[in-house]
Amino acid sequence: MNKIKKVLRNLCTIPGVDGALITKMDGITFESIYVIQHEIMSAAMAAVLGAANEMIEKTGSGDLEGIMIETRNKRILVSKINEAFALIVITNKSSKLGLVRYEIKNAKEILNKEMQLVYGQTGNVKT
Amino acid sequence: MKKPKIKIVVFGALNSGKTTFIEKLVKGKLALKGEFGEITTSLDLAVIEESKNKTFIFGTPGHTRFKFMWRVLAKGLKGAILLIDSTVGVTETDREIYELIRSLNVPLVVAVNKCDLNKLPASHVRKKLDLNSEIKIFEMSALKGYNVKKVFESLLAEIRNE
Repeated sequence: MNKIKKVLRNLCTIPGVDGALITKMDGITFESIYVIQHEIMSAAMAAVLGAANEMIEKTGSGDLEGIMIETRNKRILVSKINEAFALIVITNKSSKLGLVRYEIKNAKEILNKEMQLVYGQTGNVKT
Repeated sequence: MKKPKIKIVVFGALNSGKTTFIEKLVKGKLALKGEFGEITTSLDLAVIEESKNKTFIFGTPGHTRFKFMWRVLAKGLKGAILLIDSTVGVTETDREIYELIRSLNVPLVVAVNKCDLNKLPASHVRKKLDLNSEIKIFEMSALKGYNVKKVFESLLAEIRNE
C-alpha cells in the first residue's frame, strides 16, 4: 500500500470517520477510501474551496485552511493540503471533532511532504 | 491500469444552453446540477467513461455575478467549449469568456447554440471574437440534440492530438 493511501486508511480508523479522499484542485479525485460518489464529492468540494478562496482573497480575510459542512447526520471537513490538493474527511455526528481535526492536521503534514516530493506545487508528476 | 482522466469545461453566457448541452450529451444523467431557479450558480458535472479515457465535463455558471467561478472551474482543464447564444449574438460577456479561455492556452471548440431558433453565421462569430481559422465553430441545437456529440468529439480529438 502506498504511503498516501495508508494515511487515508489511518484516518478512517478514527471512530466516527466514514471515509476520506484527496482531490486535486481541478476537481478530479486523486485517491479515495470508503467514499461512494467520490467523483461528485471531489468536483463539488474543489469548487467550494476555490470559491471560498476567491472570497477570502478579495476580502483580505487571511489564508484559507479549511471548510466544514454540516448536515443532519454528517460532517464534511475539507482542508487544503497545498495549492494543488485538498483532503476531505467525512464523519458522522458521533465523531469527536477535536480528535478528528487533530488527526487531519497531522495527516496533512505527512501528505504535503509526500506529495511535494512526487508532485511539487502544481499537482503534476515531477519528471 | 487506470484510464487517463480528461477535464473539459463548458463556458458561455447566461442562458446560452450549457446545462442543456451537457444534459443532452449524457442523456440527462448529470452527476451534479448546481442550479437555483433556472440558473447555474455553482457548477454542473457529468462523467463520460469510454474505452480510452474518462472525461469529466464541468459546466460553469453563465451569470457575470458568478464569473469568479470561471477561473476556479478552469483549473486543470485540458480543453474548452464556448457556447454562443445565436438568438442574442456575440456579447461583451462572450468576449470576456473567450479572452479567459485564450489565456489558458488549451484546445477550444465554439458552438453556436439554438440554431433551430436563429441562424447566426459562423463567419460572423469568428469575426466578432477575432478567432483564428484553426478554431472550429459548429452550429448546434442543444435542445434538439443537433451536433451536440460532434462538438464534444471534435474537442476530444483536438485534445488527443495535443
